[in-house]
Amino acid sequence: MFRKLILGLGIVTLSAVVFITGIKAEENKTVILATTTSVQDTGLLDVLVGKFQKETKYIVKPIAVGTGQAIQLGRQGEADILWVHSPADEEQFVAEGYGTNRTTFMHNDFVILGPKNDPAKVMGAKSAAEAFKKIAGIKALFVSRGDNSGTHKKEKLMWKEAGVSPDKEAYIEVGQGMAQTIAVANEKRGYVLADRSSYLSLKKSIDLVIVSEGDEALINRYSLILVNPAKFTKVNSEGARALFDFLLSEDSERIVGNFGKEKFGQQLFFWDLKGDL
Amino acid sequence: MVKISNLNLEYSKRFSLSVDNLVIEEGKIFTIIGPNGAGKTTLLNVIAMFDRPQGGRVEVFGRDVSDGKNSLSFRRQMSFVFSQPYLLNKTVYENVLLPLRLRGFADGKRAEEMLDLFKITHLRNDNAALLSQGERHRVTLARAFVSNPKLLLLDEPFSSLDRRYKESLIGDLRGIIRSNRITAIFVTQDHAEALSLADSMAVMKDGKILQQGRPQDIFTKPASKEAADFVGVETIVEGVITKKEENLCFIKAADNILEAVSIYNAGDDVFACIRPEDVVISRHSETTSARNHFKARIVKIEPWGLEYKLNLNCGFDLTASVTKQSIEGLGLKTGQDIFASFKATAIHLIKREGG
Amino acid sequence: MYFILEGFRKGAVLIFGLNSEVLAILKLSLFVSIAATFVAVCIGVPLGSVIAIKKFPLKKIIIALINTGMGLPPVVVGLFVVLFLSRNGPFGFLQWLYTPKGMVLAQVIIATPLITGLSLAAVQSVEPKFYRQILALGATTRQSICVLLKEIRLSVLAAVIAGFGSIISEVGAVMMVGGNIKGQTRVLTTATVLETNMGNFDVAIALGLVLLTMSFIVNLALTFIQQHKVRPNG
Repeated sequence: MFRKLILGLGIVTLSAVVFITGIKAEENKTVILATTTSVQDTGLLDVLVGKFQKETKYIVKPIAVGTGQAIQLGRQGEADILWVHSPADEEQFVAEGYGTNRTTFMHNDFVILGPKNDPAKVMGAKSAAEAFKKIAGIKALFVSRGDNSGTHKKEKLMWKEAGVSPDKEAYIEVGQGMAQTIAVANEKRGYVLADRSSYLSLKKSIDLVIVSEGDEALINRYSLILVNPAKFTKVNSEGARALFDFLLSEDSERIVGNFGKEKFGQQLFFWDLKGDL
Repeated sequence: MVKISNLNLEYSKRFSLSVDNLVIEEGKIFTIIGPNGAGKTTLLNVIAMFDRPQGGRVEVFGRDVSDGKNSLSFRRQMSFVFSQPYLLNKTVYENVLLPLRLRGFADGKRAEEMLDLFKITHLRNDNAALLSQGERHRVTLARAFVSNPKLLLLDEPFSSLDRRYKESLIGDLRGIIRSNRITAIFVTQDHAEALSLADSMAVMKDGKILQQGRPQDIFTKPASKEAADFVGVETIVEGVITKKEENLCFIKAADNILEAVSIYNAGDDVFACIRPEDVVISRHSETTSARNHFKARIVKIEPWGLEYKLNLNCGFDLTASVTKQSIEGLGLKTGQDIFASFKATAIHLIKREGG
Repeated sequence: MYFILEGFRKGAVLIFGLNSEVLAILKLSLFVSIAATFVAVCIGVPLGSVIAIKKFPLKKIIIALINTGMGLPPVVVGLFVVLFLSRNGPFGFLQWLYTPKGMVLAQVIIATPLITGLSLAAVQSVEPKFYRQILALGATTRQSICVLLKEIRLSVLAAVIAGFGSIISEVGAVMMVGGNIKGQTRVLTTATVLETNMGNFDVAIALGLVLLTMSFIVNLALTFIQQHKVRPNG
């Protein structure tokens, strides 16, 4: 009786598997896009992908994770196209042969947020690097993403440029998304590096203000990279290319340029690509 | 109908069942009596194919069931009643119908017949879980009979019932078993139950059968000390109540009249049981308050534990127990005529089947 | 405080306004949870019953494994399911990653040990002779188990309710395996996380309320079945 049960379960599972694998219709329609949470959380991703899916037969699966994980997915051939914002990692990715057609096409910027009373006197700083130096100087509390995301990598770059390390006691690594990190900084009245769009989304619910912005170093550039089909046979290179072309098209340029104006009163992303592809 | 030969089953390191030869005839009620741990339930389980023996042959319905094969078709020809009524949380009707449902034909009429037979029709739509103990036992029995079993196995089915209720239920059950010519194997520890509900009987102890035969024979003349230890020795006299005055019954047993206090009525066939220690011996006829007073001849004197047993003949076999001092004091010898008396309240009556 | 009140208000608007996106998310949540619960029950209840009743070697070890599985961390399950369903994984050919099928699979893996363990305990709590009595009445093993389960319906349904509860509230595995893709694999729990990340606390609270309401309705139905009693003179 016992054996019959196991056998029965085995047969059911096996037939389910066989039946389902018979339906492989979606093979070439699925495009896996590995991207970052900052693109998703603003809502831009939904708009662009939505339009693409409406106009083509493709079904896009945007996997919004940290930049580190997105690039790792590319390294394993688990994604077809990347949309990330970490130039150093991107270059290495392409150099190692995992990706092709790297195209930097848009940017937004980071801002440094801090408490209204600004104990480190960041507001007077002449550059972003100096701001970081000042924060470390008085051992002011700094809240970090701590998750290898694009934002986190930018933050680490800034500490390097400033030539300082934050005091261990005054440094918190949250290990979560931008909203949570800002929330923690808000609670503890610390400083935090955030992308502008996130700040604008959360502005009304926090007491932190922008203490530094505009520096060239705070520019955050996004690139598209096609995962190299020569390295991974399972990659949907056709679909990836279609999405790639769409995201770099004039339609896309228009959408990106207008995005945010209605909700936040200002443009969030800026198009960098000149001319046709 | 059931033939067991050279059966052995090792249950655990301390207990094993070993039956050389046991035959149960078709249409008869066979009772197995014995103390706890004697192996009675295990024997039933072997017959019912719940336990498999290591060796031996167990023939039921003409085939050897010790191989454990085809248990389902076998079980559907028999019924097993446990000591606890395991009923479902449903109506009495649904509970009684269950065995038929399991076999694929929910014959409602038959279920109703069973309710009627066991006098529980008025409980038909009641939730079985909410009935009294006695009523639940009746439902269990009705359920056991609904499938028309050829063999009925009962494992101490009345152990949790009070005496009064038990007697009426046993009476009903006996009638039903007889009229349907069912073979029944009935396990109990209670002597009175065994006397009421047995054509033949076996005494078991430590996994072995000590003695087989008619109940009254085993109770009056146990063949071994071990059997006697459990069964005890009693005087059991067959008789019929001829007259009743208030609660005093006059019982005709062979040529003697016994007087006993009982709830039974004139016309009832009974066993009259008298415990040896209730019999008073005297050399001369004495006036006592005991209503039963007989002249008796000593047939045998034998030691019994700390006392002595006297086998007497007073027209019927009577066993008395006396101390060593009494024997010496009264100068009792085999062959002597003495007087034996016992009170009307010392007789314990058990209803029996007539004839 | 403001956000909590806003959340309730927004929730009412979303629900009664029948916002199409929220409806799609709700539909998918219902589908995935009910499908996963159904499969987990179909596997777990019979499996738990059989293990409880039969004797076999290593029985205690198997039960210990099941008990461990009851506390299996969903994120760990999610991680392994992702690895197995990924393109490079052994089951990549199924292409279940980032689809509702994959999500159902992960949740089945999470809920089945729970339902198995609870069914096992429920059946074991019945007197062993009861099962034997049913067999003695002429039932096949399958029939006996069915009768037994109906008798301990209270406990079995508690297992089902527990299984459903663990599935509907799960977010980690379903996020990893599904990917929280709009219109495809976004369910109430993952949508709540997303809205929170975006800073839309009012929407997040609203979605949380929708989730609780849905869960309550399903559990209400299950509870009615569980508590149904035979009336004495019915």
